[in-house]
Amino acid sequence: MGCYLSSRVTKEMPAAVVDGHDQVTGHIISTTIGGKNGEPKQTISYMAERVVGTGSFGIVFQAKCLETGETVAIKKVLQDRRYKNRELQLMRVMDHPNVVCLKHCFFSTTSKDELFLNLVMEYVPESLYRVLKHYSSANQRMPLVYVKLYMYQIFRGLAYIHNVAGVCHRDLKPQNLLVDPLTHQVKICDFGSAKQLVKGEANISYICSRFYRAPELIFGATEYTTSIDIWSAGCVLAELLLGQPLFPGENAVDQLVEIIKVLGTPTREEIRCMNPHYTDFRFPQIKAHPWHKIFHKRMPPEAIDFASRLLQYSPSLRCTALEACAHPFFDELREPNARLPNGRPFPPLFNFKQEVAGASPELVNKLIPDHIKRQLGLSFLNQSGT
Amino acid sequence: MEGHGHSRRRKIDGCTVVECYTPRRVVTRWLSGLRSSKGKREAGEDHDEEVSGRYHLAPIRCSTKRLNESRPLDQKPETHRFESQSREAPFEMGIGSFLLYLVVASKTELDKMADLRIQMEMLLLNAKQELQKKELQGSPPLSSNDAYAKEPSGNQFSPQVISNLASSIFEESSMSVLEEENSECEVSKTEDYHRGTDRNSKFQAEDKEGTKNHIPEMVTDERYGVCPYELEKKLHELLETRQQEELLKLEAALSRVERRLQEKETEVSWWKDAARLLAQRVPESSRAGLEWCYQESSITCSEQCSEIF
Repeated sequence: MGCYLSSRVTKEMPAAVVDGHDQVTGHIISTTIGGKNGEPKQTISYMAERVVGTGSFGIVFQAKCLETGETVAIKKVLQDRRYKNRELQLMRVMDHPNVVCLKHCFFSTTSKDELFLNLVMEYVPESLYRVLKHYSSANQRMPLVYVKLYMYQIFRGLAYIHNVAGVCHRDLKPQNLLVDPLTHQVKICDFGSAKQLVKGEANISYICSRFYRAPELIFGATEYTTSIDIWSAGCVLAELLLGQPLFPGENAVDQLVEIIKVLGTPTREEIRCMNPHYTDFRFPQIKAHPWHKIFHKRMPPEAIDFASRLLQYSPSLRCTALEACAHPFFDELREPNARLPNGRPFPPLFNFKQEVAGASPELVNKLIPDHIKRQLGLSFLNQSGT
Repeated sequence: MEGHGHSRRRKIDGCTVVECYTPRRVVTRWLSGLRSSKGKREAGEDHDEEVSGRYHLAPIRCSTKRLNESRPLDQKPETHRFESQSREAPFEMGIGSFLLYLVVASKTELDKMADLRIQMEMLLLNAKQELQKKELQGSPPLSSNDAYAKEPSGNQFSPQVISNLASSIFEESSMSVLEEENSECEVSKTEDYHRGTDRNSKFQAEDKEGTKNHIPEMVTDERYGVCPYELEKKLHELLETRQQEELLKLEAALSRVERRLQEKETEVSWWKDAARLLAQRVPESSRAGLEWCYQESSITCSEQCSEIF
């Protein structure tokens, strides 16, 4: 697996500090890894190729490892010397086929004595955002099989992030879902907003990007759960099916109005579940728009049912990521001869590991199709099948 | 208030009806015996104030009054022995007073709501003014929050830092992009984080959370939640547009139905004319022989009739 280096090398991370000379030489960044516990020291050089993303968080650029020829994505963020970087802490423990993999990391300094953290990650060329744009510019809808394939992998990744790592991503959106155009494997990336949520502890509500924010966040809730990611995934599903965002809106109020247009005015109880501070207000009663009228006429009922189960006002009523994986919407993927439209096999979908650990036997039974069970024998839970 | 007056009227009505019964007096006397002396006094006063001069009216009214005070002991003999009218009177009196109570209760509730609204408006106004003041002073967007103002500014990304970061990777290519980012950063407001600049303010906010995860987060949730009044206003607007749409739809449907009705009416008038025409001819034919008309269709009948003539 590509994540091989991450667990080993990043432990040596403090040793790998690069001089600020990369600013002068510009394009080549060299770093040393290893050198502890008798391991031989090894130099890795990256040649920066192009910027793939910028933001206040820092910059992401595509680079090539000169020693191995491998293409990587390097996220470079300013590092406060006093504190640990949360994104790095979280990414170090992540190891899943549907989560972007951290290969290596190192610090670099500039002449102004600023310290930067460089997160070297596997490079995935496309994002779901770009794939969506491709279809909408051609005035087409994404074929349903791809919607199923992508959404399934998103939920599998989320099941891992939520259940195994105990982390909430908090910024799930098409831009943060990477897609390999050849294998159609999906990987969740950007853990810059991610956090381990502790029950009873308050968190900030001004996270998550517009269109994908759960209503409780718009209501300013601070004690939310990982179900905010499920809402975001529901928004992504609706966008893949519709070809455009389901809940657009320039500001928080407009977004909430868009949500109310579809789901109707939340009941007092639903408001209480989202943010009890708002239960005293009486909002005008808007009728819900039936789900089947939101999508086109030929939309299969299981797709509509699935969307309605994800986009619920009450966070506790939204299904979990693993339950989502078991939904009949994904049954097509579990058929014995299911393949990509070009005849190639699907990327691995059923090599579950820890993510099914706490699940009920019925759920696990639904998740693993019969033909895979036969392949794995009775000990399917212990085998990863990578 | 109306209920009150009404019940009183009924009560008096009831009294005048009951007056003629002699057993009633027995009951009244019995009830007045049960009554407290205070009740008696009140009854006496009532009696003086009220219209009726007849001596037996007072006890009866007293008895209903006592029923309104909801004493089951008194109510029982009343309901058993009195006719329906006098039984209704205390009941309506009860409803009347209940309504009165409801009116008073809802008024206080409304007053409370109005007070709360005024308070909220004041709060909002203050918050807005404060925000504007902060913006005028040119302070960074989130420093308006005290929790952030206390934080050392060293761990926030200044535009300069970002540009340095970019230049450390590519001197030319990334600069233009990041300069844009800088200008955005400078104009970003608290509410702006949804727009293109969302990462700017988000980062500044997250910065605290992201780098100092050992410090518990201090969040003033209401500051970041949506303004309920704004939401209410928008929802009212939505409701209005939806109702207007519905109105248009209904109007269209109505005009359609009206058109159909008109068509049917013209059709009916045609049939009427046809029927009248027939009716003019039928009497003529009936003179010749009704049997024809019953057996054959009206037209052939009339035709045949004309043949006969």
